[in-house]
Amino acid sequence: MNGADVAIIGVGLHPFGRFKDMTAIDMGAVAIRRALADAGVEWRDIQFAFAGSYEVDNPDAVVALMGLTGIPFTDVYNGCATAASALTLAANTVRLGEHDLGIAVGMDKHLPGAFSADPRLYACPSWYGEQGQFTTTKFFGMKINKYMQNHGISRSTLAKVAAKNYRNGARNPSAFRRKPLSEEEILGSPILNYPLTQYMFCSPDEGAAAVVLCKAENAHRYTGTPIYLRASTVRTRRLGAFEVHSPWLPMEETPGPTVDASRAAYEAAGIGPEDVDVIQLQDTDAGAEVIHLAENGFCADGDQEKLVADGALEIDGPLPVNTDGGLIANGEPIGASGLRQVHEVVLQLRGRAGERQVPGDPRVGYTQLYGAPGTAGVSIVSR
Amino acid sequence: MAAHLLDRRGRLWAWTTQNYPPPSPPYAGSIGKDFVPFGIGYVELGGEVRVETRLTESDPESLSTGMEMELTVVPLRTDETGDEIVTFAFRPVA
Repeated sequence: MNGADVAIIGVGLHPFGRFKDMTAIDMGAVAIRRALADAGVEWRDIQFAFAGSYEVDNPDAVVALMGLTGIPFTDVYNGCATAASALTLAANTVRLGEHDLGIAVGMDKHLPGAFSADPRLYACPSWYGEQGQFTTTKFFGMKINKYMQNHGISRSTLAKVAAKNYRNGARNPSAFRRKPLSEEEILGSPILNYPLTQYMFCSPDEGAAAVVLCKAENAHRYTGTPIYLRASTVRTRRLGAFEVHSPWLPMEETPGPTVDASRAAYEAAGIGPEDVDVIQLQDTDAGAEVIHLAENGFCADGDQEKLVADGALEIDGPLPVNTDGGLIANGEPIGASGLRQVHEVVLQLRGRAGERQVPGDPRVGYTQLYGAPGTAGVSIVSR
Repeated sequence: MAAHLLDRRGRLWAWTTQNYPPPSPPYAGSIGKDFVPFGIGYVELGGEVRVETRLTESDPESLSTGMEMELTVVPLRTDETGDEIVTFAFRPVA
């Protein structure tokens, strides 16, 4: 034991991609059934649930497919950190001693194309959207463009990161994009927001993921290989952070919410970045993975150029990142994305990740989400 | 609250280009074959604030961080009565 009070005893995934005959709720039920089977428990054993979704107002309606057992079932939406919030709330419910066994599930089914909304719902003025500034992709373009100038990162490094994620996705039967793409194809695809090209970005898609949690001391009743949730944190932006959907910024700069969530998670877990064996980072685009590597403490700003050239982020490298292909190969069903990351690190720590297994008996996993309107979530798990 | 006039000129702090038509709505500019790519960036005004703005240039070769920029207006679209709708943007100081 390691002082952790919450254990993950089951994970389940509905593949990510496009499924025209499935609703988000259908996919959520598949993920739940797989997580229950993995944990060796029945739906009637589950004492509480949290569900995350962007497109579905009431993802708790999945009970219609699972069974009407009367449990407390709370729906969560928190931007791109929705799944991290569902996981954090589920873990805290166990931690508080209110219930011993519960589930966090995320599901979504997005239309193709860039995310959009009424800017006023994000506390932005209408003109911001009318004149074409209310897109998330242009923020990622600006952030990596500035980062590359400040820290000597090349466009070839961005292409190498995307190519790695497509290559990892090709080894993952549940991934959306399973065709490897060369650096040349990635750099040669149309520029969407300079310096980012089409194949450097992830796409909204469909999918679901679920995680069964229990009180750590009960974990061995269910499984021989419990994975302990050492920390799960969510943070939002502070004034001065360079964030998506900011019509203006003050002159004084502050680190972003990923940095805050990451530091809080390391402190809660009593684990440092040097202890982590397998990493999942929010790669909305290849540049985001590069920046997040430093924001989560895995390297200094600028080190990424050499790390990527040396293959450090590959499955068999010292810092394996996005071993299942990340968002670039899996797409982003917002409600499910962070639970997919947890699903992947749990498989890796159990040594059951198949063709994409990280060698060397990994013991500690790390996941990070980031997105609009400036929200980040981090979790740390260990054997 | 009181009105406070900002400089019309400043330095480019961060930038990218918008090469595809943003989802419409909310985008009110021309889309489809009439879409014209534009730049987007933050311009630092008088050491007081950074404002996000459209840029007149969308060629990465014509933009660089730290360059001097000034306020201008650019056409956004033509409305149903044929009137031209304009909006603010920043352009490099020649």
